[in-house]
Amino acid sequence: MSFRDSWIWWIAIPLLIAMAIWHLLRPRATRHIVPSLQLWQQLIHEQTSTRPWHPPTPWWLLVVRLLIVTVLAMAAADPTVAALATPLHRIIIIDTSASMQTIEPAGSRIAQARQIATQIVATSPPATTFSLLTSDRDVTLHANQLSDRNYLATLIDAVQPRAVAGDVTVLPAWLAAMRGRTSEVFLLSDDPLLASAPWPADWRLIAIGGVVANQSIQGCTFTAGPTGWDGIIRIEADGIPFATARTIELVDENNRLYDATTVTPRADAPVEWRVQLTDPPPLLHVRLTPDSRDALVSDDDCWWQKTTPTPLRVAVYPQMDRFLAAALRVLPNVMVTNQITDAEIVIQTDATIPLSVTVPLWQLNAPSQVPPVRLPVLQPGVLHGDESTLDRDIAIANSQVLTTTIVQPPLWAQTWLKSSAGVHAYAGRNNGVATVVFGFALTNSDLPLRPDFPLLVRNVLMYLAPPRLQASYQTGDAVVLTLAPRPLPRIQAQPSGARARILLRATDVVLIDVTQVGAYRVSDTWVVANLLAPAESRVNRPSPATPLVIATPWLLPAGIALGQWLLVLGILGLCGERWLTWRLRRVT
Amino acid sequence: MAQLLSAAESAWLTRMQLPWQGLSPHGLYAVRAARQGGRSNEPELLRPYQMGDDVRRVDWAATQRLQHAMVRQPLPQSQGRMRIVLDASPSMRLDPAKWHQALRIVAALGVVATSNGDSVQLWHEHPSPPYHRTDAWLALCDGIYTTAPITHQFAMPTHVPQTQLAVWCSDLWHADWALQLVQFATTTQTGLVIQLLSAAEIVPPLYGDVTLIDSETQQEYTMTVDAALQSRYQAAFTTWQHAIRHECRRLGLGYLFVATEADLATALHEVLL
Repeated sequence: MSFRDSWIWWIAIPLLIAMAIWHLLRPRATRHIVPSLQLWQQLIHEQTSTRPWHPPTPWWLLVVRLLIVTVLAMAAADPTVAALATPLHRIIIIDTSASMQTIEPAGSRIAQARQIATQIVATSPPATTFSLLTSDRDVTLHANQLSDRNYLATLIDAVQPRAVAGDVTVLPAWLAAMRGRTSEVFLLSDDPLLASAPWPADWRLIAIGGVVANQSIQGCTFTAGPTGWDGIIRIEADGIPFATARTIELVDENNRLYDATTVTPRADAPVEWRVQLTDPPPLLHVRLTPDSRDALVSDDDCWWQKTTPTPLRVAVYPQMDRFLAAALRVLPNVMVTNQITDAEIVIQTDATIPLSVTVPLWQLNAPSQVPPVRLPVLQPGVLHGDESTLDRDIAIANSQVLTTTIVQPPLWAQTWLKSSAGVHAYAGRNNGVATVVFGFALTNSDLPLRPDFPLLVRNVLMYLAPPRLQASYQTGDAVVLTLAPRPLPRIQAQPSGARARILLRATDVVLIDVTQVGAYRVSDTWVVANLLAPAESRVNRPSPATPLVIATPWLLPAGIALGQWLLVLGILGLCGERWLTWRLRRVT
Repeated sequence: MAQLLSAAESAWLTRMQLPWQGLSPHGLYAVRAARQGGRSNEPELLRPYQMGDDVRRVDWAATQRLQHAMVRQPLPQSQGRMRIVLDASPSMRLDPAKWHQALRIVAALGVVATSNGDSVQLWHEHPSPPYHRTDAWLALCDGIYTTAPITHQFAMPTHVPQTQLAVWCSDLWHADWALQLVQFATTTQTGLVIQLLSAAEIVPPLYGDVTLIDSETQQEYTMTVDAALQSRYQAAFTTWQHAIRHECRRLGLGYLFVATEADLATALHEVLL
């Protein structure tokens, strides 16, 4: 047992010693005038004592008093029993989001993280136990309270980044359930959001990679600093810097003025503003003040969005996964955030490049959708506008598309691919973000198996990617798309243990019921978890021991406060009792 | 001026009488029996036989009943003389209630004597003149109660003429109490010793380490009083009181123990007729 407020004993131990001495020392004899001593003289030789101490009478009362003071002091010193039961426990969390793939002069970020994690393990005390977690979109527990360092090193070396965006905001709530009071948490990440996340004060954040990450959205450049966001806003109209000094304001998603902002016009560049944000809201809108708005087109308003995935349902969509995997091979530094809604899967880059791919979920709401049609031949679409074409260098005239859905291009669609039945794909800028929407089922067509399909992917990516990245993928580059030749039956294991057979039918998307709390397993791969309870969303989650959770967190501080008050009252009571005893003897 | 006796107590005392001779439990018993319907209408005193008594006065029935030679003697007429010796030592003045009770007893005895036409003399440091009037006696007692100084050490009057009845009111907290009893017995024909003690003297409320100071000699003793010592003190007190009673009986003196808290009627029940 250890005590968090051990300084209490510096007061309690002298108090205990003083109490014992107080009771053991012989008090000064009280003086009494008696009529005569003739009877006392017969007894006095038997009772005279010159010792400076005397046994306390009654002795058990002294013991009870000492015990009471000891217990009160222990309560006030905030004892920690957990330290006795468990040795030092270190939790190592490695960020495995896509940004950790970034290669820097010192090596890739994930390699740096692995090296640091190995050093943490090597320099830990002998009895230390370790828990290894990886955090990206989900939290994965690889080892829980493991003491075998060799096996732990193997696990650390096997950590690889995933092609998903990180969401570190779920970590505190998840770790609160497994972390003991004596645990140490090491978080190795390059996520710029770490600086503004509400981490506990005793967490050790180890930054991996560059200090800053630039975000550029429509002329807005934000730099993540250690305490907030420090950005430069450059207002452009059709790519031309706006030459007239204007004033700007920042509003949140509810159109409320974001007042915790420092906006300073730069003297050397009147069209730029330096913005320092402390605790930025999830969605921030940079706009001109009403008196300046008339000079700009509305589309050039600047938005900064901190995307928070709010997945509701999970789709087993292997083809689309591979499609995205191919995209990520082309653009390895893209951080992808999946945002799945009832209507569509939106894959959108978070900041680095304005990449957005919108894929409607097939037959999600069948009664309200247009019935699928069978197209013998997918005709090349008619492209409009001055954007890059989707069918450039592609001969898809003879492609067979068995099932498709007629999509309705929105107003922002600038180019589309259509047949005689209607529009099957379109592209455009949705709120300034380049977006491509496909309307045909890849699985039920031979298009992915045709040599032209990678070119279609290239065209899409080159449309989506900014010009500076287009050079990284040229026609003729190898794009590996290993699609399944045919749908395979899948076995779904529910958290309750029940198994269900999943047939990937004509549609590419099969929705599984994930209303139960727990992890779902499809075939041999943990795919999904309960999305309603993020703390339960684990991939490859073993069965950990039940962590110590204090049911009533207010009880401990309340008990400490009560114990401290009782200690004070006890001391005052002892002093008062002594004073009364002394006074009564004087009166006697 | 303090009122030692109430009007009711004074009225009650005027109806009482004092036993002038042969003051003993047996004598009192016989006198009471005579007053309640003896063989004679005259009050008589039944007392132990003494050398020189007329054998014709021997009450053979009482002798057989009491297993002691008893003689019947008519109660003397009034005009007797009583001397009250009051102990005013520091031990008597230590407890104000004790001093007050002592003066009340002294005043009550004087009231009984003066109301029956007898004279009473108070010996307090110095002998007072004989008092025949009740009011003057009460004034004397009141004055002593309020203004009398504390004597450092009690001294039994010696070389004084014998009186018919003498009463010594004291707590007997004197180391030479046995000698004083002998001296007191020589000054009177009939003697009565009233030992007045308070409850704190019988069961001292002492515990723990105490320093006891003798009220008369100012001698100090430090000791630790616990339950065992209290028990031994009680045993010593009983032995001491028993020795006083035995010595009084040996000297032919009456002995009466009065507690400070006792009321007057209870305290003098065995004394007054």
